[in-house]
Amino acid sequence: MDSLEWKVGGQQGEGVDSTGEIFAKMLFRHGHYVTTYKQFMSRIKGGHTNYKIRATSYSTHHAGDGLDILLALDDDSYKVNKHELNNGALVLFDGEVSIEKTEGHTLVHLPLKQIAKDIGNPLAKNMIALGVSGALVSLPQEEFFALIEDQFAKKGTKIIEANKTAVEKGYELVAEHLSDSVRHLNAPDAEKRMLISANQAVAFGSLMAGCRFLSAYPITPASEIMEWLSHELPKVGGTIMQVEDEIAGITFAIGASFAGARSMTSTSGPGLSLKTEALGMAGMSETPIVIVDSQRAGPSTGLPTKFEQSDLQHVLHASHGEFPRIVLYPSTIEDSFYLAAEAFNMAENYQCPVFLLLDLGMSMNKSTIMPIDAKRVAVNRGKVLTESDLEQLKENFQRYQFSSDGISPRAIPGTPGGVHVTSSNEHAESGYITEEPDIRTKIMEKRMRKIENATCQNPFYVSNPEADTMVVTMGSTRGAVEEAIRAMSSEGASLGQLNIQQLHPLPTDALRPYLADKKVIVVESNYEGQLLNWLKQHLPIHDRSYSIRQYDGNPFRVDTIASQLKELV
Amino acid sequence: MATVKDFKGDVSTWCPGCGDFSVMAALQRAAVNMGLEPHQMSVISGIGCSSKISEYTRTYGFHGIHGRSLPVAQGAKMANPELTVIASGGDGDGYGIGVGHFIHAVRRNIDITYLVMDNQIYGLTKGQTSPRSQHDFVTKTTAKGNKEYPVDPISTALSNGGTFIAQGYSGDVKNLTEIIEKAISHKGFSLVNVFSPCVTFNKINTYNFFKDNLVHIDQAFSSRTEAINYVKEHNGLVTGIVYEEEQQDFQSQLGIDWNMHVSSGDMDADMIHEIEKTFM
Ligand SMILES: Cc1ncc(C[n+]2csc(CCOP(=O)(O)OP(=O)(O)O)c2C)c(N)n1
Ligand code: SF4
Repeated sequence: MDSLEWKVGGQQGEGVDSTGEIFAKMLFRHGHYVTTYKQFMSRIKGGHTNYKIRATSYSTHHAGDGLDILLALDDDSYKVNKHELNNGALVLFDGEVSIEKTEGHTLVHLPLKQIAKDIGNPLAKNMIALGVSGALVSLPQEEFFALIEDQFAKKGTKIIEANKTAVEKGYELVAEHLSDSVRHLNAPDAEKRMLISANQAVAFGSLMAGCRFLSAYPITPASEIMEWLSHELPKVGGTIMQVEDEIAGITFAIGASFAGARSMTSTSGPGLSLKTEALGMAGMSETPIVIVDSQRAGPSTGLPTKFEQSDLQHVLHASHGEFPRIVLYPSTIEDSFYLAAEAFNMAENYQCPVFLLLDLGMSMNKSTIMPIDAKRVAVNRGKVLTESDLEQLKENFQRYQFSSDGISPRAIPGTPGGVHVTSSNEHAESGYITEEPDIRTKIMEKRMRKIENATCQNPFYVSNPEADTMVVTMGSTRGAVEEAIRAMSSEGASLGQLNIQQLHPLPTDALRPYLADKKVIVVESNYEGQLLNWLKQHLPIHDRSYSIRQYDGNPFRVDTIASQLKELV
Repeated sequence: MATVKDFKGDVSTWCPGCGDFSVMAALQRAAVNMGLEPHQMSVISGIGCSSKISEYTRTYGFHGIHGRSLPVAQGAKMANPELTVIASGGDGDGYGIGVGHFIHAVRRNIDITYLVMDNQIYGLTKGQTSPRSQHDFVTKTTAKGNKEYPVDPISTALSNGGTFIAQGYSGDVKNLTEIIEKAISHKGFSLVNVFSPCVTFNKINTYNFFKDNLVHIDQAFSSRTEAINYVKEHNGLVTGIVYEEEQQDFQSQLGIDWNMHVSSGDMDADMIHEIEKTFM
């Protein structure tokens, strides 16, 4: 077996999340590439929730369409997830021992609760089920024990022993009742890798890029960024602040950036809506700032725990008037780290707001990535003047000095010789308010010119560039499309894929050759086809472009994309 | 040593006689008296006539958006604890759009000074009612008289744990200068609400009105309750330092060894590996 698709489902508050986390880590440590997807509801207790894991012997960016093993801890688990079961799948329920074959899969009842009670640990039901799962794919029991020792180190030997016993019981159950179903899961190798979510990768990347201040307000699915940094930032002399609302979130960060710290704010759609006036202030005052928008399904409070990619239009245009901004959207969890780090360089180099888009599909879910390559990250603070630079200036320092590239040198408060006003009102080179038409025109042009040539290291990824049809994606949709194309290519279709990571300014010239004279199909999770519309504004693809869209709150399935692609090519 | 001249910024466009001139003069004088240099200071404001103080006072100023001077100022102080940070603006700015930030700034106690020029009207938008306009006040938007009652910044700050709460008056620059110096020296959040008449749009709360009605407090109250009662009894028309209390400010409570400076050299390899391990 080269791949395993596994899911645990249950009522919220029943430990589904931690059960999934442990099994994901187990598979990861055993050398598999792991991709996860959590489904949950916007409530704390009650309601069905599930945690999907796909373990493969090759790297993927998609948690898969099917299921080989389903741990059904509540009644809904089977009902809600039945349609995903692969042929030959095994569904495990609690109850008196029985094994029944139906509709191509096997329903197995095992006395999980009873055994948990017998071993004096009623909470161990999930651990027994994990033992069953591990045994079914021949994971070595000793590795399971090692993981338990790590995972519960803080909780003491009693808990560790109790969990080990529970896992052991799971292995025994399989030996006794399910030895026919045991399979061997090939692990590629035990090379060092990381299992990480995009939220964590962004937080990590920001930290390493010298971010020292984050101010934000909690919101799903972005909160984890703030939570993670709250532990790490104080170690390097920085801090996070959970402030009163999103407006404070962005304005605190703007203040901190103005005063010299690399700073950021993180949020999701509703929070971003609140931030928009201040976004314009960052643009007009030319204050660097990184804003993470971890997208969820909207509008308004929408589906707060569901997947969608519908904030693109908003981040491209949010706030009144016109000002330069940069919009980045990593297409893998690995790139979330590097693009986050780069976002800070771009914010300071171009002295403007930089959006880092994520989506719930990657924010809260994990994937195996290679260890961090520090050589790919360098800190570049742009045109910041030191005290001695300022001393050498013959004339007074002009904060918004006209320059050919549109970028004016900055002086950080506290530095002698650089006193000026940073202004959100239209201003002259000095920073002082002006309404003089000629100056307005010139300074507007200076500001807008700044980002004309702005580009990150990997503004897009393209595969099979010579293909007849190019499928375009952004964010986590990349994974499902990659697999759909892989499946179709074996059937002889000529399909390429373009994952755009820099959406503004769109690298139009660089993209043109990959989209010229061929069919263009854009796959995105929103109603209006926002990415397609954005491309149409820049490239002449109107008469040969097609759209695949979904907005039901769930990520794309490989099979639905494949069947729609087949219709279009 | 800097002089008042060093703190002069852009040429002002305030109406002749506007109370804001005196507030600015008092701030500049206080800075000079305290031996501050313009580059060591940051005056951060929102929008309104009064908020132009960040353009007219020469410091590392920030003229921002309506109602948001406080979070920008607190962020700046978080990033650079050495900087003397003054948040400043009007009563509309601070107690209208910004009232949420105000209450949170009070209870958070970051070491900045908040200087509010309270003219009890909207000046820059030409004479509409403000959250500080008194009941029954007739303005462009309250032809039949204001049906609301004014926000009370002093008792709000008192009841939300403010550690330095004072009120000044544009007609008494000497006293106001003293108050501002003490406010800046206070370690923690300090509120200085200043009655600063709008000579163009507010024909009720005029210099004469304040001359006749203001009561001076010589000695700050030592209890919040007493202070609140006194301020209420006098309908808020008091000047002086109402309350002061020593308390650790927000940043010292965090106990972080602040280092917001970012090296442009290599990333810390040890740190990367330590963190990587948590994901393995
Ligand atoms: C979001 C927003 N809403 C409205 C305005 C318009 N506006 C500018 S100044 C102002 C009122 C200012 O009143 P106040 O803060 O009391 O200052 P003053 O001009 O009286 O000194 C308003 C409503 C704005 N700039 N921004
Ligand atoms: S309108 Fe009022 S507040 Fe504004 S400058 Fe004139 S007098 Fe001052």
